[in-house]
Amino acid sequence: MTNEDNLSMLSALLDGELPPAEAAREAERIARDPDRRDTWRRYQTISDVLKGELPERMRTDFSRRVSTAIDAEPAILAPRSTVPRSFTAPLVGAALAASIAMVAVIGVRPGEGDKPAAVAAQPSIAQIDTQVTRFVAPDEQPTPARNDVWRAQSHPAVTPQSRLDSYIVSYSEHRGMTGTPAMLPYVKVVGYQQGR
Amino acid sequence: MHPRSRRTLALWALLWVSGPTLATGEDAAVALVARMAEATRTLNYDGVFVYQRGNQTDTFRIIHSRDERGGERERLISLSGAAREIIRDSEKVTCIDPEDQSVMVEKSQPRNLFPGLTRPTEEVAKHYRFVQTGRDRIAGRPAEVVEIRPRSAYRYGYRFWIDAGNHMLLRSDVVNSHGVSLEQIMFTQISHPDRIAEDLLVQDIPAATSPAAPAAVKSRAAAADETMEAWRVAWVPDGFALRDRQMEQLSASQVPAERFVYSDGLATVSVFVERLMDGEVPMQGFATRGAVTAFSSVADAHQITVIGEVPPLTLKQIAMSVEPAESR
Repeated sequence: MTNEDNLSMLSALLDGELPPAEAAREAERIARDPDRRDTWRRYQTISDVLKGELPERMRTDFSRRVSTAIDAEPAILAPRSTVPRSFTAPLVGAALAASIAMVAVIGVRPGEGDKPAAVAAQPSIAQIDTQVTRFVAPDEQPTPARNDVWRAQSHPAVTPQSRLDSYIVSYSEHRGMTGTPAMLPYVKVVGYQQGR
Repeated sequence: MHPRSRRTLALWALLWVSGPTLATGEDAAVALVARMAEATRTLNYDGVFVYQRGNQTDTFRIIHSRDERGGERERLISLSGAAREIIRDSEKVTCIDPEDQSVMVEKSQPRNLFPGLTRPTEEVAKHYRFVQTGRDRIAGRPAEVVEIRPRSAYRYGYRFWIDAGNHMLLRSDVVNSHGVSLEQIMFTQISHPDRIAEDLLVQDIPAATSPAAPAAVKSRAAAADETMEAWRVAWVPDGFALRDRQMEQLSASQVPAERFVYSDGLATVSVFVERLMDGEVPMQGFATRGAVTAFSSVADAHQITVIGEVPPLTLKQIAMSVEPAESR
């Protein structure tokens, strides 16, 4: 499959355009291929940014299609399964989502330099030196970002971190709209086409 | 009328009409910031700035043009990490990611960059003190420094370095109550050409990868047929007003959340209330990045999340005040 075909599969999946069996196959491919997963994560997060722009109906349709497409097996896309619903891995995904949140501040996504994440845990407020934000549960130990890519797959539910990501993206949209001392206009992204 | 009364009256009238020019130092600081807000939209500029939060620093180039023919146009290029670009004009916004080889296009939203600052409302002045603190030099240019100090512990403060000549924003910091900079944007170089060359405002990526026209430029749609749950935010700091409220389906959530957006003209806080589904692990506690903090708690089988560019205490207090509304 050419790169272009790959990208159009991913985007079709995102748009809810794949028939159920295809969607399941694509989900499996995404689970197995780290590069594909990376791209999917980006699309997912960017689509989060679109949240305010996309018709609500479209988002609901997508969720519905995907959930009916997958049966009770622990598949990545199964909303009520034991595996996280979103591909956005907690910390690596958080890096991008949080970066997108910062777009709201300055108007562009910062370069996604993959710096190793050293999560400094505080009892109540997690001050992070890296690209990553994360909730620190009282009994939880901070772990390096990269490992959490794999933890996401086996974690028994939608991870708190991926939920936080999507909230932050939403926040950043409306932050831009109400006008804060942001340097530059906030940018939201709606539709997309792929390049070559 | 007595001559002296007339003179007094005239003086009052003059004060009323001319506003900041005759008023106190504080009003001068307010006016400076208002002029700065205007300048960022109306000037031509081409510059490089650093964006710093915590230990992370990124750099960007921004090119901004405003003229009668083209209107306002802008291009932002990340200089560190992936070479992403965003290009904006009055019609559309294009976001280019060479790593994904993707191009995203959307309809431009009309923007008011600093609504609270171009027309400083009484509310903003009630909760923030504007103080001109002196001069400095940024990107080789003399700058006036203005501090916007919150009057309560519920807010952060801001510091702006404003070009003494053309009022361009040269540096901006978000500061906490200890004066510590939580995040900052600072130009390291900037120029103001009379005219911005056309080729500076178009993407470097070959034309083949850019869309001829957006496939589907989607405009904001009304909320779905999900009915709004009966929730209410009982407390926000004085001066914050509700700007938006609707149901929102977030990508990592199974059900829509009720979202409230509050702003005081400078800072924004969003409140999300989302029903927790079986087996969902809720978020708890704080998470911070730069000047933005999120706080999450659980109440009544619902996840309450408050996110904003305000001190953590404020977020927690707002979250604690979220309750089911008595009547709809």
